Amino acid sequence: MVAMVSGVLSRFHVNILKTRASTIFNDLFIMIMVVDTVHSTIRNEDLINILKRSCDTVGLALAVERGESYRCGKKVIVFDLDGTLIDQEIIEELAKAAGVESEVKKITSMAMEGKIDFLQALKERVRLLKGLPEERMEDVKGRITILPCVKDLMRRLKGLGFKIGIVTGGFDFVANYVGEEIGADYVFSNHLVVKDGVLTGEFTGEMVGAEAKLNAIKKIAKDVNVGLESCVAVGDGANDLFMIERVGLGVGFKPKMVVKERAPALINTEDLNVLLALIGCIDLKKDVVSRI
Amino acid sequence: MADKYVVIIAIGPDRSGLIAEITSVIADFGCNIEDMDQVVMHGIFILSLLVNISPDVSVLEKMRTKLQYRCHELGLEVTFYYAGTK
Repeated sequence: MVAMVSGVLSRFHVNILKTRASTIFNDLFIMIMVVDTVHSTIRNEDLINILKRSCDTVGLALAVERGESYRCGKKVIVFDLDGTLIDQEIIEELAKAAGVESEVKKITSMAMEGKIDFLQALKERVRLLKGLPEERMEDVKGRITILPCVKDLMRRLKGLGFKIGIVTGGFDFVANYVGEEIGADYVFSNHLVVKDGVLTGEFTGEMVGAEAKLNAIKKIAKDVNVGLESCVAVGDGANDLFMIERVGLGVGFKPKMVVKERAPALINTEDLNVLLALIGCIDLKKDVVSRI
Repeated sequence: MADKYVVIIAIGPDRSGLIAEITSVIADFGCNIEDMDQVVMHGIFILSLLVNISPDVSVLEKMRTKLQYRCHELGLEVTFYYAGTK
């Protein structure tokens, strides 16, 4: 791994000023490099893309941050819900219960790849759920599985003083439940309208579109009294990209193609604990920060 | 069986590409770098590596010879310390 990464940097005359690398959490190898691109023979964006592709082929997670951003301590972390903290797409689980799974799945995947507008996709999918009895929502909630490493990660993040948020275009009956389970400080989600014990095929809430997620982060940041550069956003789909590209560190976790191409940090494994390394919550960071 | 380690230290005038040159030799011998520290002080490059040589201990001498040769070409001094097991 060291040879691969340093080989790429060397090829483009990127000078490595400082390296700290170690094997932690049993078998997790982490390497932080401070590099100087003044004499680089390639644009930074192209270099990042080459590093991403190289890391992806050998299953490495990668984060690239500017010196100023890296030095600045991170205080807020927000997560997308479906596919990031939980294994399921809530709306697809509801669709299963309503017998409209294939129609809904088709719209979801188009939306996640950014091929259709998120709001339109959400409206169409919720409309297909019309008439689903309210108690079936409880069944769906019962089937939700939070990824195994999530609770452990949240405990560590809390211990480090992070404020934790969930920002999702999904629905409050699951988002609030997951939020409670993992100890989230903020939950932003939508609400399915129920009338006479059945879903009406409508929803309320402001968590629609990619900008809504960023606005939610801005609210948390204001609350905590920090800037966006102190925020970390983690997600997998096209509607997460807007926030991922605008916070201090945006992380694509098991990302869809469009996120893979544009997120400055990528985690391709199931293990969200890698995040701790990427956001520098290990002793290695202290060691290199003074050299930037 | 417990893993066996060597610590390798290389030092000399800094220029770009040194880490790539040294670590590629180690990778070619199938050895794994488990810890690493590198810094540049007043233009002097200092690198220390903890290398797991367990997959094939017999490569140690060949790797040492190759690294000494390579480091000499790069203008670096290199030292090996047997670091025992962990």
